[in-house]
Amino acid sequence: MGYKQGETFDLECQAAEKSYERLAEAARKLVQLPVDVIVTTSQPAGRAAHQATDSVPIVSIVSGDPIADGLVASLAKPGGNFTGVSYYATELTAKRLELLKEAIPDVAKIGVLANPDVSYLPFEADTMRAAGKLGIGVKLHHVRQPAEIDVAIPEMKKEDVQAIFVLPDVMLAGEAAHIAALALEQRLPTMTWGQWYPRAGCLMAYSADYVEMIHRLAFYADRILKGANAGDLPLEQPATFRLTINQKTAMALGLELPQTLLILADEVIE
Amino acid sequence: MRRSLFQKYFATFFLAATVPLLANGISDAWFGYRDQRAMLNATLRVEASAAAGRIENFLNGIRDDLGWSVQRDWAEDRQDQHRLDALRVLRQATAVVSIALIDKAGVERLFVSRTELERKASGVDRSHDPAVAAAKLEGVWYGPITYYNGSEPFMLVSVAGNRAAAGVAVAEINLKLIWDVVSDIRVGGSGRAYVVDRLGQLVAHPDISKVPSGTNEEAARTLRRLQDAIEAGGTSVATTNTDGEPVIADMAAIKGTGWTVVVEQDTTEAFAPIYATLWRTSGLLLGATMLAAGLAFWLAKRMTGPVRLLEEGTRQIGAGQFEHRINISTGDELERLAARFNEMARELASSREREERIARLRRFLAPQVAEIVEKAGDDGVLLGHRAEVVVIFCDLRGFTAFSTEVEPEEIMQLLADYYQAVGSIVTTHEATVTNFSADGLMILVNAPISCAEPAMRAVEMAIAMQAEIQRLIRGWRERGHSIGFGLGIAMGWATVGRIGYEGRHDYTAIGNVVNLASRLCSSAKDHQILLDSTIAKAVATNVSVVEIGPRQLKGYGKELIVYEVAYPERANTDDRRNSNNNELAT
Repeated sequence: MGYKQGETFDLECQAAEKSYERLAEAARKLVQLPVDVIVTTSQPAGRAAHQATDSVPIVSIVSGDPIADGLVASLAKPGGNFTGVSYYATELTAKRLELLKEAIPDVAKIGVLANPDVSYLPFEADTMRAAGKLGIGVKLHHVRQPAEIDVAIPEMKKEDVQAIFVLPDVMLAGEAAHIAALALEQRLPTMTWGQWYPRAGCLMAYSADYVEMIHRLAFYADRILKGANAGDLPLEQPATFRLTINQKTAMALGLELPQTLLILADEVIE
Repeated sequence: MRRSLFQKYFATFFLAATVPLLANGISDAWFGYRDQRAMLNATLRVEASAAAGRIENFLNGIRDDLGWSVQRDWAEDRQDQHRLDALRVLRQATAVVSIALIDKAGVERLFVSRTELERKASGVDRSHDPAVAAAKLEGVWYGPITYYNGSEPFMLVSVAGNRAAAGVAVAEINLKLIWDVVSDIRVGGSGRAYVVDRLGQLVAHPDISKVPSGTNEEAARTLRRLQDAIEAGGTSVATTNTDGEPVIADMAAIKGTGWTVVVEQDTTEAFAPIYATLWRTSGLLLGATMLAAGLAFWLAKRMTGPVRLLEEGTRQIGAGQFEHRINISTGDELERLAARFNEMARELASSREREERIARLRRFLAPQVAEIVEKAGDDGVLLGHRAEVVVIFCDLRGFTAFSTEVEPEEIMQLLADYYQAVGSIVTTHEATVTNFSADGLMILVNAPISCAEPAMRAVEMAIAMQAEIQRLIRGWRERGHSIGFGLGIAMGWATVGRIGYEGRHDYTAIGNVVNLASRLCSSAKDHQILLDSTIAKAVATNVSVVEIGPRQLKGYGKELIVYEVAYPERANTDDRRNSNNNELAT
């Protein structure tokens, strides 16, 4: 876009180390600097920024219902200082379960990994509803710390779940390899919400194209730096979705994935 | 007059230079504008057609992909095959969000989506769905634009199989993927393309915030107006876009959809090359005009400057300053004219000098002699030298006594008559008058111009003078004045030349002969012309000369033999005798 760091713009980075408590502090620091635009890549970070300021424009990836969360007035015209792109984190819950069922047609019970820190988002409720629709039983496991996963997954195995369903969360996003190793150890297939999970060894993921969305955030930041009002930029919905399958994991689990699933896959790791 | 001449020249030169320049500049600018406008038209038309072509390709691609899902009959139980076909289309066409397969009877048999759960054999009757009905009729149908959540533009596309048994596929298309096509279109720096449907609603625009406002009725009206204007003109038009910015816009229709691609460019940017050309032309014209003004000024000055110099020169020469010269070196007629002027001034100067010199010479030379001296070109003849001259002295007898008795007016009148008479005779004989002293007069013959027989000439002149003055004397005697007239003539070597000081010169002779002539004159009685022996011998053969014996002359130690000219009196001899008897002393 013709920007050069240090020449045409300055980048201020505040890390919260995947800790929800520290997000608010990081957001406050950025507001106090001050900055021209805050860019975040997750709903909780965007929410923290939105709580910290109602004047500095915020561009974020959102999940859930941003209208209900009070972040925007409407998708077409957000109105305030907040805009960005929706990740469809929860909108695709049912579809993920359907795809899991496509992979394992006789799936009847799944273990769900969820972080209660993001319980304010409708992930868990949506999962319950969709699973009910598809006739799948759910065992919900709340994990706040990575160490808790070590406990949760073997517990799931004991509960006779046939697959692990990982819900969106920043902490869980960082534990992809960890989850993959534990799941394989327990011989459980995993359905996840980001391409990086199957790449780390989980069975599959279905989501909007995360990298494409990050690029889209740059477009928004550019528009705002050039004077556009964040409230005038529509909150965009994803247009392309990616199904990623790790065939190696499937083979390790002794799963034979149906042709229809492989047709739909955008990325097959072999 | 001078100023107006300058103005005329200036205006002529200036116009001669600037009118063709201006005409050229203006025609250049005009044709440049037309070319640029034509180029702009062509560019916009090409961009619009290319964009329309790309969007057509995009839609045709989707149509073709959908075609794969309506190839099998529904009569046979091939649910899985149909599902595989539908999934393949999803895999192939990223813009397709969902596909519904409807059988020949219009019943939905399958629905697959990227975001929603599958529906198998839902049994929903969609035979009255316009998408299904239209596809059955026309093969392909493009639905209206709908906005999901008010922000995402979607469209239904339905495709019927080539056989009725294959049914119809109704697909939901995410039109945002057309945006990539539209965003890629760049006309210049600010030019952009957007897609409008048949209702004037925005389908795609590089500015995402614009599309939801595609439902805005005012924007739709603007777009419809633009469509009408371009259709009417058949070429790009200058108008304002939905933001009210002035733009140049053109459009191209997308076949089958009723959509139009509009390509627009900011008027300022589109016309930037035209403005640049205009500025350049104006700059050049301004420069050229200034140069023309400068040249015209210089030329006019060059033309009028010499005229002014000539005028000034004429005035100076007219005022008598003949030494004034006009300096013009233009190498043309004016320089020649100046040269003529200078020549004229030189001739006037030399002519005046000559006149002055003649006037000077005439003071003591007879006019004829003065002319000769003048024509000789120099005053060399007036320089002192020795020459054999004849010196003649003459004066009136009894003048001193007369002058004490009568009024000055009468004295002056008498002298005027006397000198008039003497002068005309001296002039006639080309003799030189050296000086006057009251009634006395000294005359030289043979100087400064030598003549043939100077002695004879002097004596003849003396005789003529006696005759003339005696005639005057008769008149004076009648008025009671006792006045006589006598001459003395001597011949010999003397120093002659011009003496005097600047502005007052006389020509004179110095030597014994002068004294001798003067003494002879002093001793001459009325009527008498006394000669010394030298001249007497010189004229003796032609004139009767009478020796009147030795005389004692003042300043001379011994007596000298003196001669008298015995000339015939034109008047009666009685007079002469009377006068001889009456012995008048000077």
